[in-house]
Amino acid sequence: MNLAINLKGVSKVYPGVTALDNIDLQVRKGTVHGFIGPNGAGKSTTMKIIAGLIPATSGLVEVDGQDVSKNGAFVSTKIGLLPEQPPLYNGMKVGDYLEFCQAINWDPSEAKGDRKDLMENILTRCKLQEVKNRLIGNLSKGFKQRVAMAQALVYGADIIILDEPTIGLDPNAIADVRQLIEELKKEHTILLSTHQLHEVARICDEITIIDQGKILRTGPLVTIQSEFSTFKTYEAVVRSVGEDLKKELLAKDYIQGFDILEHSEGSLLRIRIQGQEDYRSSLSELIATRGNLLEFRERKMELEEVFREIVRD
Amino acid sequence: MISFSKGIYLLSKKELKDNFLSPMVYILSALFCILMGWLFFNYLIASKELTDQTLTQSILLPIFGNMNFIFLFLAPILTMRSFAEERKLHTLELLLTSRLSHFQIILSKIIANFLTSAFMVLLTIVFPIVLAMSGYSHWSVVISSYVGVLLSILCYISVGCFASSLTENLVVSALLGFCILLSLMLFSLTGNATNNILMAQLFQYLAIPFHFESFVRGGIRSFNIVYMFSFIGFFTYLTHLSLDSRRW
Repeated sequence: MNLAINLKGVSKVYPGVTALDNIDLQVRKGTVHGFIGPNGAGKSTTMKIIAGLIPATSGLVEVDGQDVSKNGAFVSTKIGLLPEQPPLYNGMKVGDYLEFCQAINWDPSEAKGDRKDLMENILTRCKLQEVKNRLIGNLSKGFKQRVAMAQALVYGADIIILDEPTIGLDPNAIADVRQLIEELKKEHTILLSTHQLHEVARICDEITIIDQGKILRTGPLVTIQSEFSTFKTYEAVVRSVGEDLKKELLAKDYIQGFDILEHSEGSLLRIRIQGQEDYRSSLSELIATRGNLLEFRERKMELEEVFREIVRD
Repeated sequence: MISFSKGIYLLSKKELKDNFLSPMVYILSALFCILMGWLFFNYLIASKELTDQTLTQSILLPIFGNMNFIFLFLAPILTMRSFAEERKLHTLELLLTSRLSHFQIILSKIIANFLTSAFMVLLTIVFPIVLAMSGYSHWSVVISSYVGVLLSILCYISVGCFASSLTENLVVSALLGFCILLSLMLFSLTGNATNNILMAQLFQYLAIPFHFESFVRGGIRSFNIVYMFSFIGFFTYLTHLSLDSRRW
């Protein structure tokens, strides 16, 4: 397996507090890995350990196959970190700030291109061209967050660690950040910590759920979601639901129950199925013959429901 | 790792720019000039009465002594932002995750603050020029006094940077720096309080003014320079430990 980040048996103990308790975390190259958990679960501590900002009390931390504790300089060029609190100098101009960040992290031996080209590319990608001559302190929160993201990208790091990048942003700014992450997904490995679970569900390929310093679940998002689905839910959009269709549905022993909800094109029929067996074709046929079927789909369990379920356990 | 000198150049350039873009430097420079100008004028007038003393004794010695004393207050104010503000704004993480080493970061801060202080000291160059107009020509004393003041300021700045690394509150940082410097100054008084000659000499040696005076009298000795650089090295190391304590 080609791993960008590999943590094995990592613990972090502060006097009287165990922030991380023997955690294992693997992030594959080229994936967007969601790192979720309640406040104080140990997400930021893990991210700081990976970035080499604080050392682990015990365990192995590898970035691109290199031990973080032994190759700090290598890690600093490989990782672009956006901490929870954006590290911005309010008295500097955007362009000067990004040039400074690039200069103190630039490694000519690891560089994949020209510095100036990369700078222009990042300014364009993060939509900062129009504000590059403005003082950071005078920018809106959304722009400041973009500048903070740009500083993590401006020296060509392969792995980007984003610690709650959408916190405190308005919906438009959140959408911008999401779009940027989706663009970065093509070229970078991303470890993303956020409380916006619907964003995780949209962007991430794999997730890790952490609570009280312990990893509760880690793996592909789809696998974790299906693991926690004890029943299936199908949704059918129909023009109308007749009495004969209701009777037919109630007669099926594998159907646990159903709800009829309002829908712009008629009604939405939400049917809960006992077990994991696939009844899509038989059910869609039944509804198509008894009602006027417009759309039929399987409803996946929301990540938020999965998260609550796991953390509650 | 970025080459040692290039890393220091990059960060100290940024720090120096920050310093000169803030009004603080200009306010402190103005206050310093007014105070030094007033003192110089008074010593100049008084020197007319002191006919048995040279211009070096009646003007230069006290003026450089006062300059050194004033920087005891100015240096902690100049350096208070160094690390305290970086902590407060969370930009210290940016520096600590970069390719810069702790020593590069600390030395850059010290150099930037030293150059800012040197700019303020440079404004007093008008005093020897005024003296030269009245026939003063003891330039070796002037040069060694300036070297002494600058080295002494460098010591104060290393203490100020250390104090700044201990807290994220600017006022606490300045007060802490001032208290440490004042305590070090009081070593010479402690030396006077003991009957043990060895102890008295040891305390005297540990106080900055003892070494500074040699420079102002024009008699620079190697141990003065060794003391100054050991002092700066010691506080640079303490600052490194303070930054490293974030990782504990």
